[in-house]
Amino acid sequence: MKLHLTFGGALIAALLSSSAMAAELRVVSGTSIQAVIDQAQAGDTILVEPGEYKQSIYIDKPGITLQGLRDGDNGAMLNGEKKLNDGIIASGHSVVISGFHVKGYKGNGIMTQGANNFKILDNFVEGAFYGIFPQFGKNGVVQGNTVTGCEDAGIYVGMSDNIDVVGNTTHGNVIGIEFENTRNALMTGNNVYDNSAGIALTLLPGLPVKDSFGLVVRGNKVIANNHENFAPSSSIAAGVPTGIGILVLAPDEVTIEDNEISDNFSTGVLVSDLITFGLATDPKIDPYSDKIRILANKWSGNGEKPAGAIAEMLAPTGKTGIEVLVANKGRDNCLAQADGVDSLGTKRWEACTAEMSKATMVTAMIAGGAEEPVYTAEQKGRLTYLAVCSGCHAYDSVLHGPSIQSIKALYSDDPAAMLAFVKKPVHKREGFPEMPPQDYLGEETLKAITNYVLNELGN
Amino acid sequence: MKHRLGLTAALLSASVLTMGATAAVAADSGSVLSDMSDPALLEKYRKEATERIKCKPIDDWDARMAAYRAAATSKWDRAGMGCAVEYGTEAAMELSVPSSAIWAFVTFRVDNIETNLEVLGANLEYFDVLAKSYSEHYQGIELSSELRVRWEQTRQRCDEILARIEPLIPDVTEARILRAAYYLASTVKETPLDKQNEAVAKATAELEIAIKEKPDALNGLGQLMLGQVLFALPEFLGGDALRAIALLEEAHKLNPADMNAYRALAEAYLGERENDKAIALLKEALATDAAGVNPQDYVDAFKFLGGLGIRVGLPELAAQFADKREAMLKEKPDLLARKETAAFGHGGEDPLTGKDPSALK
Repeated sequence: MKLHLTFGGALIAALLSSSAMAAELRVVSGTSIQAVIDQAQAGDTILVEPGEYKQSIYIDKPGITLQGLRDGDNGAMLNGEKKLNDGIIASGHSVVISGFHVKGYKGNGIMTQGANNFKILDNFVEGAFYGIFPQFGKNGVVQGNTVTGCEDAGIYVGMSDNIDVVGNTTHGNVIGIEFENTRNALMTGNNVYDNSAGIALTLLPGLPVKDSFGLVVRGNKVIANNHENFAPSSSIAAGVPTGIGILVLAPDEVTIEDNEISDNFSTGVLVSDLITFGLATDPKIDPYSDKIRILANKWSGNGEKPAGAIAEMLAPTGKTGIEVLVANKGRDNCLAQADGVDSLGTKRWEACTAEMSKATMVTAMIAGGAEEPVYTAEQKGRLTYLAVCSGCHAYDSVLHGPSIQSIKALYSDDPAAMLAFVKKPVHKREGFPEMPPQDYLGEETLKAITNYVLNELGN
Repeated sequence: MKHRLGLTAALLSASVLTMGATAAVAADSGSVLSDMSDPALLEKYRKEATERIKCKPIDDWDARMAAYRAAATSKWDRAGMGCAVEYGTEAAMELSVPSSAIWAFVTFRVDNIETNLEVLGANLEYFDVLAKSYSEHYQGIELSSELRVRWEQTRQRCDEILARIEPLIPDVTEARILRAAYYLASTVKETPLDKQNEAVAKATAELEIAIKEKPDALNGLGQLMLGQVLFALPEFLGGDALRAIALLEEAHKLNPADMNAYRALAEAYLGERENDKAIALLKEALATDAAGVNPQDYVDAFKFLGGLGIRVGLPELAAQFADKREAMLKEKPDLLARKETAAFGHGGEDPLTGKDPSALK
């Protein structure tokens, strides 16, 4: 009996403790969101009142829900004023970010870095380099957001696993939605229009994740993605051809089904290997796409006016109106509706069969969720350096800020001075823009970054 | 001419891109990267780079040739090799080049032709060095400005030499091959898409002629380049994987120590799912005598070939490449290990494991 009571007491205490942790905190308009996050406990919900917040936000606690509130036409707006780099960065697992208008950031609008079981819901993101960018995440959902004006991808899922991208609208970006070096992901019910390229499924060289597979693109509207490519000329996205509905660049096991693909002027779907893009530089990566299934989709008006790279490619053939264009030596690929879809480069392709359909797939997420590892200081340092610092600093060259080599030379014997500078930078070097304060990242994370930069990076 | 040029073609396959790098419209959405596309800022950095990379003038012809020969193959030293090829070009330009091969024999100026071709080859090699200096994903404005200036300067030097040897091309197959190599190598970077495609078409035509004229010229460099082009092109644009493999096999036979032939042929075998042949070739490459190869080419090729070993599921083979590569890097610490670091959220080591993504073990 005693044992039973003890067990019961522990259970009740745990429940009480859990309940006590899940508080609801409120951010009053015009005050610091970060200050409230810093006070919050794991599992808390933070409600942000309507108003303008000129801030960068960092969440590294688990289970935090950050929700922007609305009052009629007024919402919670994060405004970087083209001065701050990142809107929201989260590395805490089970984070929920919803209801914000994010605009005017120079790097990422909303980014999760190493966060598992994340949810990014119902936000409106305008004009960053990457709009919504989960990276190194497992088991997450990006749903109901609208993203526009991004110089790279509006929604950009990088090196992640088991992700759903559902019911979003992306327009006026260089790339509407991208899965990059990502495994097992579902893209469905999205409205993707007026981007330079609608959807991109890519496997890029030189990254830690060396494969990409299990991607399902189903039931999306991919319409008139003919926007002029406005990516900066030095960016990878500048090489993305304009007028593409869906680009498949080197991943395997891709299903494209039940989408409306129309009026994309260069081609409806382009399947290419990395060689064609001049990107076959990573020997560990298989540059070819295998097992691409292009099943029944609604096609109309694609390829009528090829532009740029596609026009160059098609010029010797004299062909236009290509719905499916293939420059890929991959194997075991198939195309349905072979008689009704104009294709080029599909000589070795077979006809798809009905059992290949993914019509019944509901989610790519893991039942029960992904594990939530506690990151070490070293991992935090690397993750946050990659998410935040590498947006302005390169190792051996001036990027936006001075090179890391020069920073190391300056602070190698004085990490405390580097830490102090990063928290509250002062304008030191002529010719460089003023660095925004990074104190929002918190003492622990900044120490981890400092340690990584001075003791690990480049060694 | 017995392969005095030591010319490699590592970058030539990359030049067969039909998409990739292109000149985009300047962005105006205010990102960090679009700030750095500001024309005035780019001009400032390019001016600074032009000043920074200037080579010390050398007046004497013999001293210039000596400086050229001292560092023309130092592929690990972008600045040093850059000056060497500049000195070599200046020296070559002082040599009179006859208007025909027959006249060269009559006037004892065959050596002058050979020197010009050799220096042209060194400049082409320098394109390779520059191409490998670009980061995998993003580079800073300082580095990209320097590389662009160097690229344009190298292109200009090659144009000057090619203008002089132009009349000899119908008689000298080696010159024809080098002109094709120039078309390909000089357009890998810093070139609009239409010009790249034009270059591939011109090079292909030249190489078809050269291979028929003299199959063993420059130890099969023509076959190596044409094989890479035909392998990279889609079938509907004239690509032919089987002919490409035949050409690459011929190139490998003609020059068994050429690491680029190993790379290109192994990739082609894998592309055609001839994994057994690729593995046999990797094992053969592993036994290459390092003494016969430029050390930077050796460590670069071994990194690549070891990576292919991992791709085909043979980590133990990759580890053997890694061991030999590490030994060479230890023996010659000036060589570049080419470890990528991150920029704009891309590249660098795996943040969770700390491991270099290109590590072979």
